[in-house]
Amino acid sequence: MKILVAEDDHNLRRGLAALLEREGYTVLTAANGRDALDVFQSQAPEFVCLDIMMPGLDGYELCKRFRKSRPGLPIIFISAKSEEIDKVLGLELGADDFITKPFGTREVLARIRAVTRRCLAAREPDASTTPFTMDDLEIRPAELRAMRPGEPPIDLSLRDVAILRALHARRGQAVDRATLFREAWSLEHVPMSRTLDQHVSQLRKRIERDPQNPQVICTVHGVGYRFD
Amino acid sequence: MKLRSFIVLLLLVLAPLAALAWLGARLARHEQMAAERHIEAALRGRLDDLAGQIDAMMEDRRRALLAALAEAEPSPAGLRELARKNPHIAQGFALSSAGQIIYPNPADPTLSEAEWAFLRRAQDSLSPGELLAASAEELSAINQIAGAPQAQAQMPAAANDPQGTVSRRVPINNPAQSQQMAAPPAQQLTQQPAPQQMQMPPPAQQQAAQMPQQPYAQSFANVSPLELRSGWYAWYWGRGAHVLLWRRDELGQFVGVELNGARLLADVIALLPDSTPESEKRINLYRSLTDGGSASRYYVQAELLRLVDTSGATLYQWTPRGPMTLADGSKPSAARPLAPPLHAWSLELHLPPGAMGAGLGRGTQLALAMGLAALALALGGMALYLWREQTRALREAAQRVTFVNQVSHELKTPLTNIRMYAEMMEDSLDELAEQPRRHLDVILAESRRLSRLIGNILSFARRQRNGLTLHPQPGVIDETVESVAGHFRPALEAQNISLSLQLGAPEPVRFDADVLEQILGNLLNNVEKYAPGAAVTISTRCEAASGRTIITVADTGPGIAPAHREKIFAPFYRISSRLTDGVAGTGIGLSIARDLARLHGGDLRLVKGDAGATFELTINAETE
Repeated sequence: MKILVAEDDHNLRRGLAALLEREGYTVLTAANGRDALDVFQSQAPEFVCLDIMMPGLDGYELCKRFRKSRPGLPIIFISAKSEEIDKVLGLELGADDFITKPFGTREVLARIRAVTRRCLAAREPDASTTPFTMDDLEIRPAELRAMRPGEPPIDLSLRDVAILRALHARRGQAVDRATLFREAWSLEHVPMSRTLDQHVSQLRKRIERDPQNPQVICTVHGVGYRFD
Repeated sequence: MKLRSFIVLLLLVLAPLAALAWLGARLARHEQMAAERHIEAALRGRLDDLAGQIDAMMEDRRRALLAALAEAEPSPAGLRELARKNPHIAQGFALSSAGQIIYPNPADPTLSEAEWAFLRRAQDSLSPGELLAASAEELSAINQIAGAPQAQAQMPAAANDPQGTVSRRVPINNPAQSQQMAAPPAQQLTQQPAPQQMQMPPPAQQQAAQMPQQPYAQSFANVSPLELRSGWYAWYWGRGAHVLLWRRDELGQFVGVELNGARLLADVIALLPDSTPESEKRINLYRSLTDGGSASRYYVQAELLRLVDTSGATLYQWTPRGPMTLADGSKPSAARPLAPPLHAWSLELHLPPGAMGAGLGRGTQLALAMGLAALALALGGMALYLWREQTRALREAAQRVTFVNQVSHELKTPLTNIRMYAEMMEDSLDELAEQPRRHLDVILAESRRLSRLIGNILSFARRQRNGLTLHPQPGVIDETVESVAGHFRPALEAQNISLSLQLGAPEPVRFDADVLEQILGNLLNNVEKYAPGAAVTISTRCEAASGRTIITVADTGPGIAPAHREKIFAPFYRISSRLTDGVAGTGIGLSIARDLARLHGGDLRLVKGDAGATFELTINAETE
């Protein structure tokens, strides 16, 4: 899923981009309103995060134009403006959510996932949204959730779903890193980093009953991971 | 600016203006009335002056005619000759002491038509008693007019008698006696007995010496009619007034003349203003004599002078500046009857409609308007100054709030970066040595603390402009308490403060989680600052009956002295003591917390201050 982040503060823009890339989004960035409009028109993102106070066109104006062009586009405002009128105006212009600064990473991810779920739910059902089961865990791609009977739902990112789908599709087989990077990161080459391992480690903490003895995502040393 | 203050300020400006305007209007009205009276007096003075000139002319005429009568031959022929030579005389007459008409004698067949006409119009007047009585009345009238210029002779208009057969003697002060007398048959005048011969009067010089040298009226004041030696007699006959002058000799014979009416009128008119250069000089003279003030000068140029008779018919009129039309029935601005024997005529002065009021007191009105305008400007300026001074404090306070708002707003983005990068670092680093992890925890804790501080400042600023609002959402209060406790646990543990939870509100309810977090955050922040080494317990419970949730934060710290227990909720109040001095803080945390609690339908109270502090937070939370 392509997501556009329009934010004039470059640290915040880069941080949000890193955060969302880790989530599995393909992130497009813009430093001002004009650039955001150009990216929107040229690359057609599926999700938009807008700051309000930006040089050139502000977030409100961008939201109006985006809405006019694509009424169903998910839009979230991320802004330091926290007055009620600011939030009301943003929501009245058609935004799906309004996140005020300062915010935590978990908060912004949770809200983005919530909007993403609505976006996915609105799509036509296909193989990518079909639920599947791994052990006693039911993965629901369209909801970005994993359900275990009698337990609260577990929020998943797009990347989490991609990793689990890749392992489920090759059940009983060791899935090498290159395959996982290709299917979950859309990367053809394997970076020299522990990105995959760190991501799997974080995923295990959320879905495994015992992360130290994982049952869903098993490590295949020297190769990658496997789902039995 | 409050409405009441605005109203008071408005009254401070309008009330004195209204009072002054009312006083000024009264003053202007008084001035106008005074000016009108002055103008009336000036107009009357002008008429008095003209009447005086006419009186002087009549006195001169009387003297001259009496002298002429004394010099004339005391016979009908002599009187005819006198009338022929003297243009002021229309007809002479003579009466015996018994009242018989000696001349013109109705039995005289040589009488001319003019003499017969005289007899017809004067037949009721030619008697000693009539002449004497009329003169006495005229004397009385003269004295009255001299003493009361406004009094006019009550002279009913004469009947329109084209044949001149009605003879009417018009009494001065007794209009009731004016009667329309029946016309005697013309042939009666011809049946008069043979006239007696006139006896010779005393020599003319003796008579002249006996003539009173004083003016007519004064000479005969307090003189009985029988003692009168001469006099005027005026009567109205036909369409005009007629005047006789008579003198009586020692034998009681009356001899006199009728004045030429046309010549008399011309002589009177000659004394009235006209547009000749000589008359202009006379006008300026009597105006300067009668105009006592500047107000009158406005109206001198627009007046109309009239000489009218008792029927109101105009005998003469004049305006100094072009024609002036009088409306029907218009009353004169000033009027004065002439003295007898001309009391059938009156002088009138008319001013154009509205002239009396136009420009009266204009100077005063202008000064009043300018004064009021200046006062209004001064009061308005003072009110504006007071308003600006009052609002300046408010503006400065608003500017301070705006500044605080702006600063807090600008802090949010960098704070977001700090927190976000720290959390991302925490997530991406699986295994960290204890020290780096602790460092990272400090970064996160301080960023959250900074967030709370900014949140408090913004809440305070919003409260200043009544901008605090509530956004209840479904949630579980215990989960929010756990989240807050989790955020504060590292910082509390760093101060050796143990934190325990006793949660009893697990049911979903509607409440504003952000508000609850801010309140609990302020309370735990105070525990962190003021109760190091203590133990703090957060407990929650629901009261189903009231729909309230009660959250208690109790610590075992130093407590709060009774003197401070209510003051601590006041903005910017900070307890100064050995324990608290040097501890950083803004003094608005508890104030904000209480306001937010009350915004949520509850309250925040300090229920225990000894051996620690126990704060009880109650909020209204509707069950989902």
